[in-house]
Amino acid sequence: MWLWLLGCQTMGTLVPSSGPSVSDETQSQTTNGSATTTGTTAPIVPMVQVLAEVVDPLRGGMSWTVSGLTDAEGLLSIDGADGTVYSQTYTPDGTGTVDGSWDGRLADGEWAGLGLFTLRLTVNGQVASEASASMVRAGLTAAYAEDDDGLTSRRVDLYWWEDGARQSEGYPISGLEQIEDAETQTPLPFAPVSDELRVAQNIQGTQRIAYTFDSRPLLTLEVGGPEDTFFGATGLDATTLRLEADGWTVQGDALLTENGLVTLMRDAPLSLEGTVGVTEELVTLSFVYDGKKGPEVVGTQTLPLTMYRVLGAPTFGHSGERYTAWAEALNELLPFIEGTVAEHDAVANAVVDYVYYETGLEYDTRRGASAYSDYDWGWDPHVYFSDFLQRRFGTTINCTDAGNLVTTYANMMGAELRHLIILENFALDEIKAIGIDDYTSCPFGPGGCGFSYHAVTTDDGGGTIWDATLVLDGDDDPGSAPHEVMMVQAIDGEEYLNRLVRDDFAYYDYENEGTIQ
Amino acid sequence: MMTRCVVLWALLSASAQAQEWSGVSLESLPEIGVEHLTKHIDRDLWRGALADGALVRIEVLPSVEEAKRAFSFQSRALTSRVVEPGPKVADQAVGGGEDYLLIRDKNVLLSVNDAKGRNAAVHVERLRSLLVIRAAAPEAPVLAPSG
Repeated sequence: MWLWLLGCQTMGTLVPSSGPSVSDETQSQTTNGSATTTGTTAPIVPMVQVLAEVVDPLRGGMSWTVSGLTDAEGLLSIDGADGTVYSQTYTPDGTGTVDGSWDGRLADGEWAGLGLFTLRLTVNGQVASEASASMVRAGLTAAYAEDDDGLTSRRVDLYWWEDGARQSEGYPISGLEQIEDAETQTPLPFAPVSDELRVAQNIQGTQRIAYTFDSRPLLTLEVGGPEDTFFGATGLDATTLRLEADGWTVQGDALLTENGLVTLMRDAPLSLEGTVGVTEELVTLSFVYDGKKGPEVVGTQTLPLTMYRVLGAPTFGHSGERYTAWAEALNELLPFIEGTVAEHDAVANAVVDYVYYETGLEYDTRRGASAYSDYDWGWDPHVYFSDFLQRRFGTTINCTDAGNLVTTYANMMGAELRHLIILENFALDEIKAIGIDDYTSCPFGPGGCGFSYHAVTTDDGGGTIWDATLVLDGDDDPGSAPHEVMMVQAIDGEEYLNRLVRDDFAYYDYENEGTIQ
Repeated sequence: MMTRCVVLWALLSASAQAQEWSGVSLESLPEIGVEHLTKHIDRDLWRGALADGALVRIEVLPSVEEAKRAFSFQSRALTSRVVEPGPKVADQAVGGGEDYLLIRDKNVLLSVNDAKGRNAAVHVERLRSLLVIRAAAPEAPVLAPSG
């Protein structure tokens, strides 16, 4: 019997009725664990209490506890807008307490609908207790990644060359046609991040997104409406649900309304350490209401995010769709340079490492011919970057290709670099060309000990040089063995020429932005 | 990228000089093994690969004079190794013809880089065989005074 009373004390609304009583002596023992007695009695009241005031039929439906049925049958009925949708008779079994649940379906298996339902416990022909609960179908149909023009976040649109498609804030990064699977009748999460990079604007999975490394991304979620569920209604108008997500804070109104929007901002910058790379996060979006016992979660929906952390907006000298961050390029580059300090020189250095060590390219030791590049007549370079990403023209390259790759990757990351030519017909000190195992001053064999030209990259007209075509001999005698590997990463331009060129004259010229396709 | 079913000459600007090439028949390029043909986004310039790994480059200039200037520059810019004079197989040529050859034939530049083989000249000759003479431009309709 004390269990019944415990239930009475913790439950909410009840309708007093006559019935058995229990002494307060027992109550005191239950609540305080002592043997204190008061000598008074309190009535035992048959009652029904819902375990959650707001429920989702596809997430378990409605549950309740009936208590206080000591010696009489009780009839539990549930009434909706169209009348009674469920009823159950409870016979006293000695405990007086029984749990029940309803999945939201009528006797014929059809859904009873959504909205506010009243649970009524009738004993001896009289209403002994009432409680209410709302059935809702809460779900989100679209997620948009946004920014606030750099105030706290700056999104960088990704670009798919093969599709000629560029992301924009006007298109969702993930979406659902319906908030549940009609066949299995289960709520749907947002789809996983698409393995297929070329999803462009077609929502076949959640798209990768890019932000500057110190951004606190903004997500705007669109709430499903009646047209987005096979219930033909959401029930949201009958209750007060809000959106919450750990690690994210709602901006403005958090209430879930049909076809409404809720915006979240990430609490922390993508990189607290100030690095570039990739941040993977599974955002759990919770539908919450304030119950009698505090905040309660009706359901959750997950949104997987793959967020590229870049240094800044692309720094190409040209505008247009292809002069932005290509999804496929960042997808290959960023895991390799994960954790690189988000500073220009560090990122450019990491790009040189990537091109030199990671791309599987090797220098054309026959001719030094370009595979993925062309110049116009003013040494303005053009790179067939899409072809490169698919290695359509093989892996044998020259300095123009390597220079173009460094500038292209770096500019996509927001680390501005430009193409620079060194002229002309000069002999070489010891170098180790990309993909070649040994140092040599004659990369083309005994008869080929110099370059007719060489292409490098710079951000200051040749004052500082980055070069992924070759590594220099970094010791005091760059013209002979032994060799000390010296990556060409932010090297003073004069020192670079001194270490590259053997007893010859060479000069920088033709600094250009370059073009890509 | 342009479809291979299109004949290149149909895409190029007209020229009054009948001795110039319109370009290369794109339909025929796959027949000699050219794959992955890619057009420069702004120029009448194509790159492609042969099955043996050799790379081909086809550039069609509006005139012979422009092709001469382009040849002069590309002789320096297509390779970072100094190129030797080429065989007298066309109007102009550089490269030995084994692993590399760049030629100018009228208003067209053709080059092959056969870094792993020794068939550059052979590949260039096959490309040359596909050059298409530019068709004479149709006469414009004549405006005549009425009544």
